[in-house]
Amino acid sequence: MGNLQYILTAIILVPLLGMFFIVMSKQGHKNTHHNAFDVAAFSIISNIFLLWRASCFIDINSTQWQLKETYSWLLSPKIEFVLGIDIFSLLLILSVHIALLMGFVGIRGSNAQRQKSLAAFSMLFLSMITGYFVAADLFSFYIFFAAMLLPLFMLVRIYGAVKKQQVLQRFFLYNLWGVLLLFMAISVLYNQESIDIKSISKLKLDYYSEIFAWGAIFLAFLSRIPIWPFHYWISSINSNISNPLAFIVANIMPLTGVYGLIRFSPLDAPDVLKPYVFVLEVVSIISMLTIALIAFSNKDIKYRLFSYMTVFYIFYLLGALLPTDKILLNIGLSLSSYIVIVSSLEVLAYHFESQRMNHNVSTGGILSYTPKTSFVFSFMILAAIGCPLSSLFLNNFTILAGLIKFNIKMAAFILFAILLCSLNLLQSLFYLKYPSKKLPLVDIADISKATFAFMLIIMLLLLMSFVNPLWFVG
Amino acid sequence: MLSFVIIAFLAGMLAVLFPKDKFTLFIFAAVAASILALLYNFYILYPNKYQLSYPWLKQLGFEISIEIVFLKNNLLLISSVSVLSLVALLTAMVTPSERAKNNFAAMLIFNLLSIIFLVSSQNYIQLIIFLGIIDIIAFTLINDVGAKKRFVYSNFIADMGLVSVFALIIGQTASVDIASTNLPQLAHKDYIVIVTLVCLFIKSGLFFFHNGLGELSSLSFNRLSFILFASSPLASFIVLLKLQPMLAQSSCYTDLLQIFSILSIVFGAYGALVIDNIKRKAVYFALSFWGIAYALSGFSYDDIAYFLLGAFLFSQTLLIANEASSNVVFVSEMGSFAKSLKFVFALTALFSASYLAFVYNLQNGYALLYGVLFMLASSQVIAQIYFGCNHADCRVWAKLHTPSFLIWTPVLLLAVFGGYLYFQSTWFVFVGFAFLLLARPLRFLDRLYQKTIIQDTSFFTYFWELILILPLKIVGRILWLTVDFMFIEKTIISSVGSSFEWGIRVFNKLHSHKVAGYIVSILLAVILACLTWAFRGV
Repeated sequence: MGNLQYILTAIILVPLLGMFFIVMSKQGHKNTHHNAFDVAAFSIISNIFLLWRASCFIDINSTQWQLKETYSWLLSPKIEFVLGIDIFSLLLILSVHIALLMGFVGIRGSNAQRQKSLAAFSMLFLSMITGYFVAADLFSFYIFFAAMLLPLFMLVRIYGAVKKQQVLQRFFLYNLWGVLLLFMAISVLYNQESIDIKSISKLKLDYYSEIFAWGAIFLAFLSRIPIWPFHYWISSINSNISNPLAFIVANIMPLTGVYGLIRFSPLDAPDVLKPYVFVLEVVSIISMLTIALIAFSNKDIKYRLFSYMTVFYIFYLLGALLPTDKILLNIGLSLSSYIVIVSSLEVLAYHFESQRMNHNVSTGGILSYTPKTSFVFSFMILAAIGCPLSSLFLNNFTILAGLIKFNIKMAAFILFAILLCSLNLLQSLFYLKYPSKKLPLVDIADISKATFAFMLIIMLLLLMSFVNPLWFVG
Repeated sequence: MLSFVIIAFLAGMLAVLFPKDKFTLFIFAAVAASILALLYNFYILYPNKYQLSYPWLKQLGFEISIEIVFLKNNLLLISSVSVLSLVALLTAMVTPSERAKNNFAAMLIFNLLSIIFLVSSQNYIQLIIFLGIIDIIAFTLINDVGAKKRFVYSNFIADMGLVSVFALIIGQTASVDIASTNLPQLAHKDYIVIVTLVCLFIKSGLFFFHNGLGELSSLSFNRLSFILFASSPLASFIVLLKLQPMLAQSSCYTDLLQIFSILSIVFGAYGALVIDNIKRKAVYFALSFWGIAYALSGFSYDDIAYFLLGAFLFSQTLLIANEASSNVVFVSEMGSFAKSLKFVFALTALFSASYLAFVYNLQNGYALLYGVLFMLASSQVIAQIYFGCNHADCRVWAKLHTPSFLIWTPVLLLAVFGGYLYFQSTWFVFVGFAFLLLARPLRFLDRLYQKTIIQDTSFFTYFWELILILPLKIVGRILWLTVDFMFIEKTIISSVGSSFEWGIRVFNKLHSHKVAGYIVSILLAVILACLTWAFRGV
């Protein structure tokens, strides 16, 4: 394993290196944005190769950090920078890489402004989120948690085309508030020493510190998840973003909240917090139902996608709150397919939305002009709603079995919310695919052959994940 | 056996590769040959047990295997579905209304393979996976938007219900094995039984949930018949057969099954009698058939296998009438066709009588009820088409023809075989049917064909819209307006904004170089210091 000594550092640095090359490229040249995208795509593909290499040395049954790397930073106070990976983190990193690659493929032919900086910020975001998933100690975890906000804000601010500045400011303040809360919690916990994030629950704290630290941790991570009533900011941002890459990045953010809660494992939290976990579950279910019901009467595909994503993020969160760690791998496998599916849906939605605006036609039946888009979109919707086309199917089933075993009433509400948002997606598919009246003759462009080929590869990967979710692991 | 399954799959893939209907003859030959090869294998295996188990996944908390298990009883059911598929394939080949022949052939063979895996399921995971795959195939087979929507929504809801039930069982038993489930030991027994049955009823389109199947009448007749007898309705019936030993341990199982079966038999016969559209008549005949199939689910697999084939071939006789009249769909626009279609009429009458004789020989109360109602409905329809008053267009008359032998040969074979088998012992059924054909006691019902309220109105569609969809939409709209707009936008955000504004004003006052400002600032500092001291920790 000698040659894998610095592989995690490399995985964080490769996108940064890509960003460096993108920033250095000559401004104003007609191929600048193509070069920027090619560099970004190359960095992502290189990193996927590194991840595959790392996966060959990972024990999927171990819950401990693997391929651990430690860098000493300060002696007093003693601060170390510790990186580590397990199968759960690896799956999430891989899916985020594929999602961003998909975003790049989606915007390659478009005429978005300032594409060089778009590629640069996306690379920075990728580096930070990868760091977040491999951070094994409190300090590095916090750094990456906070550092993600900068590229996120820049991407949403510049490319989101968010008309309401107020919404953007609230969104940013809301996320910043989460960062501050985690900072406060860490300043209490860090008093002890540099510790592994998996063993935080073993720390002995006094009553008030315990309540304060854990409460702040909960709220910090929840600030990233669109839980009621805070879903409003995220949904407002989502319905305004008009760039698929920015859209994907904005929608990956809740993943960081879910991941944080899973890593800090609220079940290991002190007993004083147990009633709050119950409150969290109730609020989560209310959020799921509210958002699914609102989407049922809202025809906007972006809102429906947002509702689908929110319901499933909360579903995974509730799965993680179960008093068992047996389904953690199932959550990881499900989340990875889910991120890929949702990202492809976002890219395709962006494509036909831009075509609709270019040709000034209704979205109803727009897919009947574009057979390739229609084929991929139908596949992804069927996979998203839980047909046996990806690892989502069996793993969601296992998570649901766990939830039902734990509390059947709660599970019934969750199932109802999932059913509603899946029906919403199906309804959208029918609306987009089959025109209710004869469509005018317009020249609506289908996705390019390269994009279609890429999407076919993704579909194949999803099918393989259904047959054997960990086929790539050595 | 596995190699033949793989060959059949490859034949299906070959058909998928030529979506533009190129090399259709070659593809049909390949698919038909693979079905015949499978049938030959079933014949060889018939007296023996065959079992193949492939360990699939281990990392989901369970060890899941994909299995192909052929016992004598399920082999006959699969053989019956194979013959049914072959007939549908041959029909598609010679039917001009079938426009995507290669696609149909591909879906047909994939459906057959999925049915093989479904029947062989020994665990819940294999069961739900192949049920889902069969639904996706049906989704592809239905090439009409309205029909697709209704069918997909109802099937999806039912699938989610089944997923919840299986998850509930697996969550409690920690085992995916169907045979090891002991219902009395499980919590929420009634929920398991009721939800399973209702979901299966929805998928099979039994009474109360039949509007999904009703919409299928817009498809070509061959696709319609295939979906009615070999797709999702059959798949859910197979699931019932697999789960029956477990479900039958509940007291409500028999009651629910009886109620919905009898209602379906009766309502199916009613629809077959009063509905004018011949395709919708076929749907109602199928509804009646699934009613009796569910009622007889505890019966032997052999009888069910023959029964399925018989019901499908009866639907084929209606297809023949439709084909012979160049796709006239309304029975009220037919009549006196026996003059030009003597052979077709004789074939239809003989087959229907043989089918009735088979039903009579089941010696069961439900079968008798079904048989009587079927006899009335089928004799009425056949008499209307072949003997009734002539309402057909002169162009239809000019084009009346006996369809290709590929369509009617399977019907003829089974009709002759049935006649040979049953005529001696149950001649009175044949005579009774002939009497009903000639006497047409229910001819007064013909006038119902003109009643728009019966022909065009789907009460059940309105009913489901009213009790399910509309309330959800209203609640969603209310939540949107009250929660998102009124509560968050107008209350929370506005009040946070106002509080900040008020805070800024207060701090502005504190900075106004007045003595009161200094005093308040010092007081705030003291309070902060006290709080820090109070919560200083140990």
